[in-house]
Order: sequence, then C-alpha cells, then structure tokens
Amino acid sequence: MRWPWWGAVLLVVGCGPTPAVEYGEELFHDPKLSESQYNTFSCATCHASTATPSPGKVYAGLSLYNVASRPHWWGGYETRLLDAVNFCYTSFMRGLTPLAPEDPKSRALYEYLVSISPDVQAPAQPFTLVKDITDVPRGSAEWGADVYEATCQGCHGETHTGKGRPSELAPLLPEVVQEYGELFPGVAPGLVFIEKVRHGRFFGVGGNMPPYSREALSDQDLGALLAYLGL
Amino acid sequence: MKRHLLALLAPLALGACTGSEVPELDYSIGQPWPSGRELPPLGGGRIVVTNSMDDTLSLLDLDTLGSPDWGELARVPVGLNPVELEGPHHSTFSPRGDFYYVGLSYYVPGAGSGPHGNHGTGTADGYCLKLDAKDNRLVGSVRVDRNPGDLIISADGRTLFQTHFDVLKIIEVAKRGGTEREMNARLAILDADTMTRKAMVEVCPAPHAVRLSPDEKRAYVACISDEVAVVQLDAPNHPVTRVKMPNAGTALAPKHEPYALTLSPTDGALWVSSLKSRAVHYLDPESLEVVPERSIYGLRGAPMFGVVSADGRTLYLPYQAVDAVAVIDTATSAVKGEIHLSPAGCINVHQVELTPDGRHALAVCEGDHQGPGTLHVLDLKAGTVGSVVKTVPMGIFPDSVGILRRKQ
Repeated sequence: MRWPWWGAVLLVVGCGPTPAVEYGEELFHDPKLSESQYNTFSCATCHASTATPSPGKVYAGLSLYNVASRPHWWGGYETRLLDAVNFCYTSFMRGLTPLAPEDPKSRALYEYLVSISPDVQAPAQPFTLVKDITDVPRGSAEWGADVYEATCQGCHGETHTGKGRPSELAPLLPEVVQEYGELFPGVAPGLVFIEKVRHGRFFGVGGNMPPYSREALSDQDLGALLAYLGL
Repeated sequence: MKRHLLALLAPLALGACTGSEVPELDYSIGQPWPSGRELPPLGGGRIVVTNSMDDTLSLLDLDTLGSPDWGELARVPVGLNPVELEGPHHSTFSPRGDFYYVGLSYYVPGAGSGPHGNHGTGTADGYCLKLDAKDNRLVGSVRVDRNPGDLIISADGRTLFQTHFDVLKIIEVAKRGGTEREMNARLAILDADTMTRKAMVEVCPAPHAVRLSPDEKRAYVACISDEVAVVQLDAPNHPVTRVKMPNAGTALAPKHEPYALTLSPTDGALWVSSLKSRAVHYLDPESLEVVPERSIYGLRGAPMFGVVSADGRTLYLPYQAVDAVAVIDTATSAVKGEIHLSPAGCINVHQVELTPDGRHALAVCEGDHQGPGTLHVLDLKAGTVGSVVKTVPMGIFPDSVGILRRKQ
C-alpha cells in the first residue's frame, strides 16, 4: 500500500502553486512570454537585471534593476510600467496583443520586476536616441571583435556563418551589407549599418531590432565594431 | 509491481507540474502594475494644449484658473511610439468630457535622419488618437492621410472631422507637372466611437482649418489655394463646392493662403484667416459669398484661429508678428482694441479660446519652435479690451488650446 500512497502524495503535493515571482523570473528569460511562434527574444535578450554591468555583455536596453521604482521609462515617454513593457512586447517580441494587467503571465512578470527593484524610489534612466545618423571614427578591430561578441552575437550568431543565432530571421553579419548597395545606392554601407544600430526598427528602418541608445553603446564602441566588420 | 506503479505516477505528477501551460501561481502582490500618478477629477474642465514638437500635452485645471500658483497640472506624453517624435497637432473633445482626440501629423522637422531618409517631413500617414480623459491613456486610433491638420468633433460627439494640410503633395504634383486637382487632399470623416473612417472626401489643395455650420449640415474648410471648400454633409457622397477669395491665386501661387477659420456661434458667420495676405475675409453663411466690407484688412501679421463670444458680438482674433489679439466688433468689423501678448513673452500666437464663462481668453503661442511656447490667460473684464494676467510655459511648439469639459 505504501507505494501507491506516496504516488498519490506526489501527484497532489508536487503540483502546489508556484510562487509568481519564480515564474516571472522564468518568463523574463524565456521567449515564451510572447505568443508569437517567430519570437526568439526574451526580456533578458535586451536587459540585465543587476545593478552593475555584466562583464562581456552589452545590452540594447538598460538594466532593469530598480525598474519598478522608476517614475517613468523610455526617456519619459512611457509613464506606466506595463505600457513600457508592452512597447517592448509588441515592438520586439512580436506580441500581437499587449499583456493585460491581470493576465497571469503579466502578473508574474511584474512580481519578478518588483523583486529586482529593492529601492522604494529610483531615478528615471536616461535614454538618448541618436536621431541624426552621421559617420563615426573607426576604432580598433580587435576591440571591435569583443564589441561584436558582447552586442551582436547573441542575436546574429558568429560572423559570416550565423552559428549560434537563435533565429534565421536575424541576418548574417557582415554579409547583409551586400544588400545595402542596391537599397541605398551611393550611400556608404557603414552609414546604413550605423543607422540600423542606432535606430533599430524605428525611423522607417523596419525589422524588430531594438535601437542602441548612447547610454547602451558609445560611438567609440560602434566605431570599433565597424572596423571589425570591415565597414 | 509497486515500482512499476511509481514509475507510472511520477511522470504524471511531473507532467502536471510543468508543460507549456501557465502553472497555478501564488501571488504576493495584490494589485499589479500600479497606474501611476492620478490627476484630480475633471471638475469644471481641463485645458489641453498640444505641444507638437515634443510629443506632449500640457494639461491645466480650469477651476483653479486665477489662483496665484496656477500652472500645468501635468505634461503627459502622447503618441503611438515612445521612440520617434510624432507631432501631435490639434485636439478636440467629447461633449461628455469622457474622451479627447489628438491628431498625429508626423510633421516634426529635425526629428531624425539617416540613409532611410529625413523623418518628420510629413511623408508618413497620420493618425487620429482617442484618449481616455480619466487617465490620458490611448483607447483607440485610426490611420488617416499624411499631414493631418485641424481636428473637430460634432456636437453629439459621434463624428470627427480631420483635414490634411498636405503642402508636400502640392510640391510633388507640381514637380511632375500634374494638375491642381491632383493636389487635392481629403477631409477625413471619422466615427468617434469605433475610430473608423466613415468617409474620405476630396476637398482641395492643403486644407487646414475645418469648422461646422451651427446646423452641422456643412463643413467649411480653409484651403491654401485661396478658397474655402464647403462640404455638404447632409447630402450623399458629400458634394464639395468651393468659394474663391477675392483676387484669388492658385495652389502653386496663392495670393492669400487661407489657413484658419473662426465661426460665429450665433449666426454661423465665418472669418477666413489668410497667412500671406494677412486678410480676414468674412464669408456670409447664407449667400456663401465673401463680403469685402465686413472683412478685416491691415493686420500687421498673419491672422490665426480666433473665437467669437457666446453672444456673437465680439471676435477675438490673434495675429502673429506683433503677437496680439485684435478685439473686433462683429457688427462693424471694426477693431475695438488689441491685447498685446509679446510683452508677456508670446512668440507666434496660434489660437485663442474662451473659457466657458466668457470672462477669460486663453492664447497659445508657438514660441520659436526650439524652446518652450507659452499659454497666456487674458482677463476680459466687461468694458475693457482685456489684458494678460497669467503666462505659463508650455512644451515645444504648442499649436492648439482647447477645453475638455462635460457639456452634456
């Protein structure tokens, strides 16, 4: 009799409620937050969750440490945290319907964001978009290799092969610039590349890449990246 | 046997606890996603200013106007996208005070550039947004043509009218040698409840201001081509007739450049403000003819959007360059006096609106389009021309002022 009894206990006790914060953390790192079959982004693709930068990784978005304690987001253009999250959700994660406040996934994600926001109040973070695209001085290609690994590789995989990229929707680098000549005749490919990095999917560029603000990526790092890619 | 039973139950138990479905969750926070700072109730009304070059709305409380520390209640972002500037341009208000509507023009020069082109130059389609008055949240939107201009609503709050000040279209058609008719832009007639298009009516080149006749059977539209388009709203397909201004030019070479309209609430008389000639033509609503002797000439700057007092006797007409409000007797078209705004810091006055009690006027000034514009409160004491009693800084390039309030 003992074995069936323990089996029944396992069935009942093993399925107790999951702490929402734990599930929220799981969702934070999991593209399944979005219902789109084409999505490969999670929150963690673009955001750290720690107070200090992660060595060897440069995120497009700012760290979400203390995110729930900030007065506003996206440079002041989102004044509700859920709206800020949903902007990412629909713009980059291919989500079709914004997360509703009472949706279990949404609630769990909120609990996780609160858990990484230990301060009651935290200042808004700067978000400086490079609006006008101009060329940048090229830096060291060696340094640029590190920048590539820290910024691009997570989505685009290794150069030339794309090895390790989570989706084939992310183009190969730097091979994608071969298309630029036809699309932008007479424009230096490096300038098109800079626009893609700085404007992301916005300003008529398209796709679903997030923009790298000045806070996320300096012109010096961008110049080194361009040198590494031979642009 | 026992081991076999456990082997059967264990995957069942684990399977029930994992999988792709959301598990049963134990929440520790009762109210997720706080809504942020709440504004006080609407009360007697809320003044709304669209700041067209920084994608914000300035909100001011009408009830406390006149208090010593009166200023912005809040400045809230507006638009579909927190990354790009979208150029909010003009607003209009539900008569129940529950919603308000803002046009997105996508005309924000200097908004960004790159190999994909210069942005904010009015080449993208515009939108009309519907916002909840309680929390200023977006509740609906409808895409319209590019370069939305003016935006108004019917008295019952069910229909919106939005013009498209598409000067770019005139230039493009001219470049390829097209006809003036091809330069026509459309008047969008929108369902305010569902935020869908009811009709798109071709009206004229670069239509800007739109006003409804008191019976709402007509929409008057100011056209840059020295005309007022009259849209018959109660006829099938909304036929359009055009009334030329005197000595009219063409869309490419206008003599007047009609831009703004001011309508009398009592008799439906229409004043047509023109940028180039600085004339304010009087359009008789019965004959649909311009009456020169009732028109206003000689203003020292471009006349803009004015307002007529509730009794129909006084026209408050702002004009630029001098940046003043001309106070005009509507019976004689004589300028009774002027309220000068520039000493109070106004640059490029754009619109004047009256408070519901008619005791104050609100004048919004664009500023230099680089720094903040201004909102001025004018005290219209009986027996006097009026004076500026309060100035409040706004966002960048404010281009409309209106009052959200419950009328029904």
